[in-house]
Amino acid sequence: METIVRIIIYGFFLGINGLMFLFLHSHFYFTFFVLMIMAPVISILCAALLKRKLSVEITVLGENCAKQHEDVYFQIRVKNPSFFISLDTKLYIEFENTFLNTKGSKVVSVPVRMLKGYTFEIPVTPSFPGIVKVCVAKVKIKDLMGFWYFGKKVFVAAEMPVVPYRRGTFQYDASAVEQGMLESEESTKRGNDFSDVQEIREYIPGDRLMSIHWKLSAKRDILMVKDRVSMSDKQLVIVPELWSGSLQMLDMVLASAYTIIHTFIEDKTTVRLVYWSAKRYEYDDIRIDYAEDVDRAFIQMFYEQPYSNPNEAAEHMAGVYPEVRSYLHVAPGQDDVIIRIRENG
Amino acid sequence: MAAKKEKKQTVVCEGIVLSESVYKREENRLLTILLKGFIVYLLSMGSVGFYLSALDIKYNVLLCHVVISIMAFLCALLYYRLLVENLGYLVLLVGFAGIVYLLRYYINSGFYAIVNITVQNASEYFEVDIQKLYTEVITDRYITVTCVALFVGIVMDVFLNVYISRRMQYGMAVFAVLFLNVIPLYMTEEPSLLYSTMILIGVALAYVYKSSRHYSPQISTKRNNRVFTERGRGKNKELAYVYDIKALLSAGIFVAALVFSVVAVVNAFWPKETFNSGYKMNKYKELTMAAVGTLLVDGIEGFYRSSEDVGGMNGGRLGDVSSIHLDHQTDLVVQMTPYNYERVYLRAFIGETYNPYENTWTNLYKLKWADRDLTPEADALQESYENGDANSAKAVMSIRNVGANLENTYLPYYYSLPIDKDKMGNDIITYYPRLEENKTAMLEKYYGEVGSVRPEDLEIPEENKEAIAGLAEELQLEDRSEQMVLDSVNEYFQENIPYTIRPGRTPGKADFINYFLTENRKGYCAHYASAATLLFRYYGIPARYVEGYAIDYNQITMGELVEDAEYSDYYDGYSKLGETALVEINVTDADAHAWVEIYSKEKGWHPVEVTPAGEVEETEDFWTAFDRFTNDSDDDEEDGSGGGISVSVSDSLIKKIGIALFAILVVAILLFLCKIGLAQIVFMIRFKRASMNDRLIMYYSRFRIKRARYDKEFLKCLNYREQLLYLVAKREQKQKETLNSDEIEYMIAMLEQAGFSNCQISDADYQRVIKDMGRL
Repeated sequence: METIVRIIIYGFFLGINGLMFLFLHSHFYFTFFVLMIMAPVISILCAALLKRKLSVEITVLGENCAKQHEDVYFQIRVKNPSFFISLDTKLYIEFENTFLNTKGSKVVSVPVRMLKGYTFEIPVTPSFPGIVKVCVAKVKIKDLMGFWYFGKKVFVAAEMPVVPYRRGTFQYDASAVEQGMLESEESTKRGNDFSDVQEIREYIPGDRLMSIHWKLSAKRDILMVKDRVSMSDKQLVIVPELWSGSLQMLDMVLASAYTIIHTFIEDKTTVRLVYWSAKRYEYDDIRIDYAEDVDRAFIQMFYEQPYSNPNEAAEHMAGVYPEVRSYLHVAPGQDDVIIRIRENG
Repeated sequence: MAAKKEKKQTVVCEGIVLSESVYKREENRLLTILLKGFIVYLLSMGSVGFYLSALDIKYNVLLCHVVISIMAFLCALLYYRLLVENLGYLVLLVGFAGIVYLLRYYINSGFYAIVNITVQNASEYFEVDIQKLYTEVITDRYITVTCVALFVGIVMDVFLNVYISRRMQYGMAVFAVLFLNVIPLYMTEEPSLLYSTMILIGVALAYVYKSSRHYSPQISTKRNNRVFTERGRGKNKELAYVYDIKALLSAGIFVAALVFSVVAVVNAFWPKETFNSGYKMNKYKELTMAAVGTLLVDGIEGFYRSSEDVGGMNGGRLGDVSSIHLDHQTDLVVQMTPYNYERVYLRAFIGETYNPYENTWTNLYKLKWADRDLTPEADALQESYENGDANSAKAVMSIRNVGANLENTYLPYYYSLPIDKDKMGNDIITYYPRLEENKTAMLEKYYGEVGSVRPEDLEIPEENKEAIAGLAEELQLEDRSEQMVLDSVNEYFQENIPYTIRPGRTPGKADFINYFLTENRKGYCAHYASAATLLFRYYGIPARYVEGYAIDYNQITMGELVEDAEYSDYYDGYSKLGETALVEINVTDADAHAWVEIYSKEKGWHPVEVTPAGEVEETEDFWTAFDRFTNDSDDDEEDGSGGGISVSVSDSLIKKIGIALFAILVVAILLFLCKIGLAQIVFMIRFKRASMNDRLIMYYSRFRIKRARYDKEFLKCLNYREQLLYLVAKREQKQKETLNSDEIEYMIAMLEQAGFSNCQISDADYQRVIKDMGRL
């Protein structure tokens, strides 16, 4: 509509100019008239050429993951190797939390400079944990005179995992956890490791530093790691329910699980995070020994999808993990999260 | 405060909020403000320079550029803060008023100087005499005009700054800049290209910035340096950058280069010096010119004419017509047969006695003996015709009055009474034209009865004697023959008193003939005829002032032939043109005319022409214009002004740059075409010489390059298999017909064989692969 109005106004001025030229037969008005004819053609042509040359890149600034409620910066670079300019290029940016499946979009208007393009940061604050994905779906380049928009599909994306915040104080049956988990704690407390080395292999990025066999590594001049298998069946298993019924409740479940795990890790207790994958209809079981493992485990969990049954994960435990006698179930409650020891079976 | 903060949050989707820090990014807006100041300077100085250079008025150009640009930047800087804006305008107003007061005499005189120069130019253009000039208290026009240029420039700076800095209102800017500059353009006075270009660049920049909608940090009263802001409503809400000086600058350079190129190229091919060569003014401008001429000469009063005028003729009432207004509507429809190349006169009014200061001629027809007007001449010619003399003839003319003054009767020379009327009410007039100076028609016996010349025909009013005697003294024609007097008067008028249809009104207390001969010295037919009548009388030649219509031969030839009319019914006797036909001619007010008839013994009363021909517009053919275009350097190197900037040199420079730009463009296009053409030729030669394998690979390479041009993903495919499978998948995606797996495998095998094997593929294989490629 804006473009149509502009074209009509321009046409009106062109008509006036033409009449003035016909009436006065002035060289000035003739030049003006020629300019008014030529300018839109050149403007549109330049925008069309700019469209061909223009490309978009998006990167995420900062570390591997971000904290909930903290700003995440996505840097968008509109690259223009040509001499053509646009003073109004619209970027259609889609925002998504792939874990929670929430989507939205925003149009950002930027200039495209000669030979350089334009670089800017979009800072977003995630209110929920998950994977925040920002995608530039298409660009629309307006010509200098504002007569035409040239659309171009680009589809460039970047994502940033967002881990939950640690809850300050929240109510849960701590004594039960202490009693129920005592055995497991003892068996898995570091420095009191009952696990056996299953095999020794080369280091793979992502392996814990704890697992490195330093002696052997020094001998072979290559990093070697020890793969351990726990000999105890009594471990601290935490099962969060990824219930999709309420994002706020899911947020609290995740934050509670995250806080508890961190509490145990700080207490040098290894935990297992077991969550239900609705996509694959099976559990994912992640062993967490150190604080840095917590974020990685949660990020891995965020590639799953929440489900509608608030007790889904607990329902399958007895069948899939019969050897686990009890586990810490973090489930949605009425107003707050219910954290309790559940006997398996 | 918290609520305010909350309000600023932009939720892009559930769980993701656009951080406030996006709005915290800042940029120095000073440069943007100065850029707007530059646009204001271009428009203000362009406007001032436009007018002054068009009328070739000298002033200090350099000083004006410096002061107007500084003021433009200062005015633009006022928008940095709201407080600065308000206080700044106040200070500026007071300061400016003080300076204007101090320089009031200079500015006043400068304005008068510009008005006077404009009026003088208008006077030349409209061919009118304008006496109303303003008195300049300070006569040094160079200084006074410079003061006015600065004054107007600063006022324009302030005015345009409001529209440009705030809203980029290019429409208002165009109006303000070109409003008064139409005046020189109307008079076909073109400005220097420097100022045309400045205005065009200014307007183009304002338009482009306005179209981008990202030009101003002053959307609201809050003046901050934020780069991003929320804009729009509802669904159209977007995060938009406010301004970006680097982008604005690069766009500005681009636009300026474009405008400059267009101006240069246009001027190279259609130089302004020859732009109007051979151009005939359009009728609409012609219509307004009469009105503008009247306005210039007589002011608004000129539009309220107290008497009618039909082609400037007004029944002997003179001096009341400022300029002749022609409607080109038919006044008379005349049917006649052409018989020679001479002008045919239709008399309507015969003035015998001139009334000085009343500025009128007394109509002969009001006198008792008027019914015998020209009767002796007509009788003599009739007798000659009836006697069958060699150069005698009898003609019949039909006249229908459709728009002429109904009080008059329009009659050709030497008509015979009575005048009949046909069924349509047209006057049917029989007349005896004088052909080849027919001397056989002896007049003596007819004159004897009626007395042909009266004392009034030789009378010069006392009030006009001095002016007529002055003219006669200038002519020195005493004791010369009648023909010599006629020729000399004609020559004098032709050379010394120019013809114009806009002579201006005779001032209220002036005499028409005296004013014409001694002061105004320009006029139309009524002026020449009136003055010549008295002048002939001065030399003893009986003369009368006549008004009516004059039909030229070429006009007769453009008339319509009347079918079913017998030539013999309308003409009989000698004809210089042989037997012709009856022609119907539309006589318009443009044919209204005044002339003199003088008396001679041989011919009696007969018409003589004293009105000089109007100026013929100089036309220039294409080759002359081209010659001027290529050899203009000598003519253009005049120093345009006293301020150090040579306007004409800049025009010439721009023209040369225009030619150079065009030449570069042509060379670039040729090089581009050559590059493409050469590559094509080289390819064709190599292709012809290549083996079948190489041909296939060459063909496929071109095919691949062509596809990759529009599909960057295709470039990522590294080998034949990947590439072909990608293309097939894409075709399938679009649900278009494509190759099946066997055909694909065959094509891949052929390409791999052609690319990597020494075994040559057959012609049939080559053709098949080429054909299959067409399906991708």
